[in-house]
Amino acid sequence: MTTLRRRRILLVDDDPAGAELTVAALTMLDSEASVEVVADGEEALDFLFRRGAFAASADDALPGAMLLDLKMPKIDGHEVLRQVRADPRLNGLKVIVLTSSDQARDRVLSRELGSDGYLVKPPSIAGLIALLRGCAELLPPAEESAT
Amino acid sequence: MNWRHVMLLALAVFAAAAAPPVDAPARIVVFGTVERLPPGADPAWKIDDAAFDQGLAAVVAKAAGLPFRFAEFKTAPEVLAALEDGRIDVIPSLGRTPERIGRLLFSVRHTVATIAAFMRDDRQSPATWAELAALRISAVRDSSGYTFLREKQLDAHALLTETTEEALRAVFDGRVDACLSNQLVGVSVARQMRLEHQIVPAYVVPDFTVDFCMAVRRSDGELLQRLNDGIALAAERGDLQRHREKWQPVFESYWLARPDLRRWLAGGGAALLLVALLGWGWHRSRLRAEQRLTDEVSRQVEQRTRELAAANTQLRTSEEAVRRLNAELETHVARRTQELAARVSEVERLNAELEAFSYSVSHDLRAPLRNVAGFLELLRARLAERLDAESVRLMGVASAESARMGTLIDGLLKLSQAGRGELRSGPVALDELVAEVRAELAPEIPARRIEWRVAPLPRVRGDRALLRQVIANLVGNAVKFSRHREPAVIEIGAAAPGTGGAGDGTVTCFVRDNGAGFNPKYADKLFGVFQRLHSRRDFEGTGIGLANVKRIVTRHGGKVWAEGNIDKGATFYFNLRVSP
Repeated sequence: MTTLRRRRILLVDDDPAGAELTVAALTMLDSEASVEVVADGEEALDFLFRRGAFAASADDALPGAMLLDLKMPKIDGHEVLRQVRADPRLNGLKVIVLTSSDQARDRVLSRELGSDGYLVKPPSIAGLIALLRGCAELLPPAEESAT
Repeated sequence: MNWRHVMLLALAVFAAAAAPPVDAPARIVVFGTVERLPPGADPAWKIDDAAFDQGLAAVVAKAAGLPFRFAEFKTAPEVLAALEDGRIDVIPSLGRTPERIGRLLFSVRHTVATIAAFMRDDRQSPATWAELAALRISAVRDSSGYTFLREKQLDAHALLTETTEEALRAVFDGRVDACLSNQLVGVSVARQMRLEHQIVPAYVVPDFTVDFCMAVRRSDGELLQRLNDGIALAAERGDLQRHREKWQPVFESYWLARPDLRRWLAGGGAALLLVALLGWGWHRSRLRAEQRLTDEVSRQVEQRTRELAAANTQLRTSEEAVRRLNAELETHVARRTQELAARVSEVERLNAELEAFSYSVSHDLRAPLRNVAGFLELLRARLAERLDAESVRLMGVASAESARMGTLIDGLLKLSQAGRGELRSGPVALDELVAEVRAELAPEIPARRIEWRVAPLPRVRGDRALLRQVIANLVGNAVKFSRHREPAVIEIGAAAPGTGGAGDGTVTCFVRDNGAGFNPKYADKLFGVFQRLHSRRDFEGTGIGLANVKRIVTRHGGKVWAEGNIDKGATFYFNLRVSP
């Protein structure tokens, strides 16, 4: 049995409209991309560690990359990053911070906690696509397995 | 004019000030004494202490300007009782004994009295105090004689009476050997009892005197003050001395009147007596002169003491006032400091809150705005082929407006950040900042003809990133507002030494253009947030740039100001500390 594996990306953003635009940009970049959207840090961790609402999907493949907002209710992006980097099971996960904050403090902390990229949300979709293209090597390759 | 005159003047002024208002009914002060002898009762001797006391009272009351009258009573205890129940106001002459001090108020002393032992003239006079002490003695309770007995701890064995008359009667009856009494009082009472030939002052107690003062009720302190003033004035004028001298011969003659002396005279010692008298007279005059001197000294000492006491009281009062004022001031300062500290921390808290608020507002405003722009983009992409030209224009306007709002929010965010966080101070080369900003602007103005006149600028001390915003704003404004000039002239420089704060460690720099300028009437509005002096149709802008410039320069401890006129260009000045 073979599975067609596509780019699997986890998008963490508490702003649904913003998330929709980001999904649109990712899709324009790669129509085959498979994007999971969760609304906050807690859901992101549940998703990554297959617990809570996501316990049932334990067999599903983990995403290769995560686009992570910083300012979120409950558990913020930095905390998510900290927990992800503390668990060896998620060693291969690329984390790209995608935030509206261009504060040096956030940038530095994200790098220290082990993020792979830091994107400040641009005011247009065209801009976002350009940014995402700029760090395409961080996005997981489309994996194909023969059936 | 010596100090006594000054004092006199001061007292007169004080007396005038202390005098009751003229329209108030004047209080008539009642002086109480024992009865005077009936006039002419015994012209030979005129020993009459009531008369002495009344004369004294008159002298003092006149000096003090007090209306007065006399009241007479049978005995001294009655006089005391009359004072205590208010029928009289003053006893003009009363020995100041410890027992009385607690009950009455005493003036300064006006007379010093001696104590004499009154004995029957047929008894041998004691030659010494020891001889006297061995005798049986009577005295009036609480009198000066009694005071003396108490001091010698002989009061337990003494016969104590209520009146001088009783005490003298005991001597006459032989119940006691001697009566200790104020000499003047004893003589006077003996005279009234018509026993002056039988009871005589046989021994004057040496080295012991009693101060005689005027006495008032304890509640009558104000009257006492007036009497003290009167006594001081009368003493100053010599009235007291004259009063005493008037009576002195009377007492002296009484001494001469002793029966044994008279007997001795009759015994033929006249010649001897004459010689003795001459000598004695000379001696007396010497004594009197000495007495006068003593009196004068004692009076001066009294006056000085009063003066010092008054000065002391005043000093204490003002010291206390100063202390109280000091304490009040300290309390006040402490309270103000506390209030100020509270206000400062409140302002700091509000400021931090405001900064956090404006930061999060601009942050949170950006998300929906970005989304609006994003969805407009998606919509336009989706409808691209189906839209007519006008629809494309309308969507373009919507996009442009959301972009403008984004710029505004960015400006607010920058302004908020300029006021927050630590200043990372270091040497900053303004030349470099100008070059960087010009390079940044160049792509936006490829078609413009601008004549740059950039003079060398000093190194200043400050936060490079923030100062870069200052230069970017001022140079950007100069470029923007000179866009209708051909050529535009933009001048950047530092004020010449002597005109721009050389010497106080600061330098004043300026950015000048020949552009649209501004109405100087609104010069103070230039630096306010969202204040714009040009319409957006003429010049784009957020109205935040100069507010940001002001905030940054102010945070660096500098000042920023502008000069200009409509269509005559503008010059913006700012001063900063020079880097060493």
